[in-house]
Amino acid sequence: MSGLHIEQPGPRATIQDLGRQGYQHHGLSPGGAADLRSFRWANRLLDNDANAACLEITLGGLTATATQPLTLALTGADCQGTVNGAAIPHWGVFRMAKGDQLRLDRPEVGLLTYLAVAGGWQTRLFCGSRSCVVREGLAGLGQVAADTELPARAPDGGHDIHPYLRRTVPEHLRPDLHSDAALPLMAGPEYDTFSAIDQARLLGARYTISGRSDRMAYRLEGPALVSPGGITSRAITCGSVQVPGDGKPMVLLNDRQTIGGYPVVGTVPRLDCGRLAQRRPGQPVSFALADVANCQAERMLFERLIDMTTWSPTGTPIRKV
Amino acid sequence: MLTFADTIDPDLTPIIAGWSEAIRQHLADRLTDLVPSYTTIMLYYEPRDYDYRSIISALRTIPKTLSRTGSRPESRRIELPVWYHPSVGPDLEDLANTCGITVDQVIERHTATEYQVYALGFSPGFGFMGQVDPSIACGRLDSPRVRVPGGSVGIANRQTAVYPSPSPGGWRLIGRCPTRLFSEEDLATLAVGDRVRFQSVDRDAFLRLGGDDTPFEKTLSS
Repeated sequence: MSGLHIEQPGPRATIQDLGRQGYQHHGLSPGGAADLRSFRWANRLLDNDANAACLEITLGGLTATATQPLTLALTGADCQGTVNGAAIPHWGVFRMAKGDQLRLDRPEVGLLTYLAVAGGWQTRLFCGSRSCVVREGLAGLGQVAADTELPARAPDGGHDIHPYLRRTVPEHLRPDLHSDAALPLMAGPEYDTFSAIDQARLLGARYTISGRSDRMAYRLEGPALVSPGGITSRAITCGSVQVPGDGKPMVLLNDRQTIGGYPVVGTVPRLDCGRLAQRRPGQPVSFALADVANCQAERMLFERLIDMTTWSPTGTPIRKV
Repeated sequence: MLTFADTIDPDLTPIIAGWSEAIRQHLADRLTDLVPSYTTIMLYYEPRDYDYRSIISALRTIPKTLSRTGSRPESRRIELPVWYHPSVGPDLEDLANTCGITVDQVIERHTATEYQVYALGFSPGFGFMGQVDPSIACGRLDSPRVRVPGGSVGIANRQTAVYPSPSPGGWRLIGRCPTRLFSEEDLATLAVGDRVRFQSVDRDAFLRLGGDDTPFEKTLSS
C-alpha cells in the first residue's frame, strides 16, 4: 500500500488515534493523541472519522515524499510546512501529488503537530486502535523510524477536493499555544489528606516542566509537597496528578501506566492535558482548583462544536443543521 | 471510581469481581473501560454522551443482589521461577539490611507465601499480588526509576509483582523471572484471582528457562 514515505521523522513521531479503549484491565495503556483538540480538528478538516489515525509529530523536523496523491491536513504546533518549497496552510488542508516533498521545520511555539490524511493512516490495528505506546514495545506500534512508509487509502478519483482546500480552523477555535494559563485541577481522592498548607502551596506555586517528561507523564520541578504516603494501587486516569515520595507532582498523560500507587491530589481534564502536552521542558505550569461539572460541560461543548462544525464551499466554518 | 474498602482484604477480590461483571452487563454501552483493583473499580465513560451524574444514576439501577450471586470461581495455580541475586535485584541487599534479616531469609519469606492476583495494570500483564510477609514489606523508592528491566521482581509494601516488560517503576527489585507474562495473542498471562507462588532458581536454571541475566546496572544504558 502506498502513501507517505517518511525520510526523517524528527525527534519523535508516532501514530495516534483516540487510543485503545476497553483493554486497560489487561494493563494495556490507552495511548492516544496527546493534544485532543488539535487531533480532532485535523480529522474534522478532512471529514474523517473522529478516530482516524494521525501522525503526531514532536518538535517538527520531518521530511517525507508522497508515493501516491494525498489529501492532508496539519494542525497543532506551526512547523512552517512546505511542499516542494512552497508554503502550505497551517490549520488547513493541502494536497500532495506523487513525488511531492513535504518538509516541517522545528516549531517556534508548542511541541506537537498533527498530520491527518483523508481516511486516516492505515498502519497496524491492535485492540481496536492504531495508537502507539512506545514503552510497550509492540511490533508495528513503535515510533515512526526514518525511511518508513505510512500507508494511506487509495486516492478517490471521483471526489472533488477543491472545497476542502479552502477549509481552515478559525483562530479563535485553535488552542492558544502561547498561553501559560493555569491548568484546571479537579480535587482527587487524596486531596484532603494533604495539609492545608500543601494544598495552598500546590495551587499557588509556579512549577517548571522537568526534562524527564514524555507522553507517559510530565514531571514538575518546584515546591515539594509532603506526600501522605503510598496508597493501595488502583486505576489512574489521564490527567491524574500523582505526588510520589519526593513531593514533586507529576501529571500522568496518555501513555501512563493503567494502575499506580502514589496519592492522587487531583486530575487535570483531558482537553487541558493537551495544553500541557504542548508545553516544553522548562516552561511553567500552575494549577487552579476546578469543579467536575464545569470541566465536563466544557468537554461536552467541545465535542458538540467539533461534531457540528462544517465548512461552506467557500471555506467559511458553519454550523451543521 | 467506586471504593469498597480502605485496606487490602483477600475476601474483597471476589466481591469486586462480582460487581465488575454486574456493571459490565448493565452499563456496557456507556463504559469505555472498567478497571478493577484491590479495593476499587474505576469506570471510564464517553464524555460526549454521558457525565459523572448520569453514570452514578445508572449505577443505582443495578440490583444489589446481582453482585453477590456470583460464586468464587476456581482459581488457577501458577508457579513463577525467580533468580534472586543482587546483580538483577539491585535492592535485594538493601531490603535485607532495612528489614534486619539476611538475603537468604528475604528469599525464603518471599517464596513461602502463596499470593493472590488482586489486580492487573501499570503495564501490559503486570499482576499486583499480595500479601507479602510483613517482615519483608518495604515501601517504594522515594523517586521511581526511569527504567526497570523486563522480568524484574519487586516488592512495594505488602504487594509483589513481576515487571513483564521494561518500564519506569518505583518498586524495590529483588530478582528476575524468566516467564513471559504478556503476549499480543493472549494478552495478559495472569488474571485477577490467580494464585501464584515464586520458586527460587539458580542462574543456570534461570538461563535455561529463557531468562536474560544482563546485570541491572548495564540495562540502564541499553
